[in-house]
Amino acid sequence: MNWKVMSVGLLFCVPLIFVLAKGFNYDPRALPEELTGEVAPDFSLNTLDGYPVSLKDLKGSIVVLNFWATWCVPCLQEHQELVAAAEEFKPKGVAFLGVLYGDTKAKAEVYLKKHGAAYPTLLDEAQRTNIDYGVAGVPETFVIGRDGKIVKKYTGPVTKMELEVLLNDLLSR
Amino acid sequence: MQWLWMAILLHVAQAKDVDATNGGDEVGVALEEAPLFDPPNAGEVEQRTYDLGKILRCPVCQGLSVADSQSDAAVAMKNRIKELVALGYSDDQIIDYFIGRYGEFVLLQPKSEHWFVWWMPLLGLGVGVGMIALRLRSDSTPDSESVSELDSTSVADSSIETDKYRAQLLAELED
Repeated sequence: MNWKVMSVGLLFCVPLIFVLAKGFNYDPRALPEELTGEVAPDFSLNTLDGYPVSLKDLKGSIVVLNFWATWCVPCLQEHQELVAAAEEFKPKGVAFLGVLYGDTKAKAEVYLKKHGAAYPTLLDEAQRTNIDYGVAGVPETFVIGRDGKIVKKYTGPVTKMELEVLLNDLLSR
Repeated sequence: MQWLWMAILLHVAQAKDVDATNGGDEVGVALEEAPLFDPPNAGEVEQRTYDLGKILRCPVCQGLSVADSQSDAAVAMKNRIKELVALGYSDDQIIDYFIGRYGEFVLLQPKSEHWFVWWMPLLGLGVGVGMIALRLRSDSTPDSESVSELDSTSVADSSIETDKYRAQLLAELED
């Protein structure tokens, strides 16, 4: 056995296998969840109807904050799930809010008229709230606990079942 | 839509009581820390906004910096950078603000503390050059050395049958 060749081969192969093994466990589409566990950034935005809503005013409530857009196909996929979850959990004291991402009020109004609405959507024309929440695409949904801290961030479409599990847990605390 | 707003108002009314007891943060606070500097002049704001935009990645683009992209998200980020620079925040504070939201993904270049990422390509290059140099050196050494070595050591221990093949091999090598 040529130990020289063997050792050089091992020198390259072992780190390569290590890197590949680590890489297989890494989801390249996973987005960082830097804000989970942190205090949710405050915002003061208007609803499509022009009513001002501030997160500070909802302090003490569990808040589900969904960033969406009319042009986003996965947003349509999750829309009915969110509407159903909102209808179930609003009477239990959970506030549901949508935040429009890179879209227009007129398009959102048509969309909500067509697909139904169970909670207000906020206009973030300056996209300041999107940046404050580190939104890198839609849909993204943040669940904020009673203490004002972000409990969970869902990247991609969220299901009613996922929300049910988390919200029931938060409500029981 | 009116009834939806009523539901929100109900929450607001409940929450205001809680907020009154807890105090509450100021709306629209840019960052947790105060700005390190006095607000700079307009020229500096523009230049630093551009420079910071070149460092930060547009989150909805393919490998483009905030400064180079015209997407809505990039324009919004540029506006946010400009706002923070104009308030007197330092470059590090602004970069940390974006890292705190998007993670280090928002940086187009990895931070210098990730030495591995910076030095690994150079290390790889060094090893590669070293291997090529070794290979070239071994190729330039005369074959007779290895042949004589083979001849003097191994042949003696071999069986008659292997000797036959070895002799044939050596004959071919001599040709």
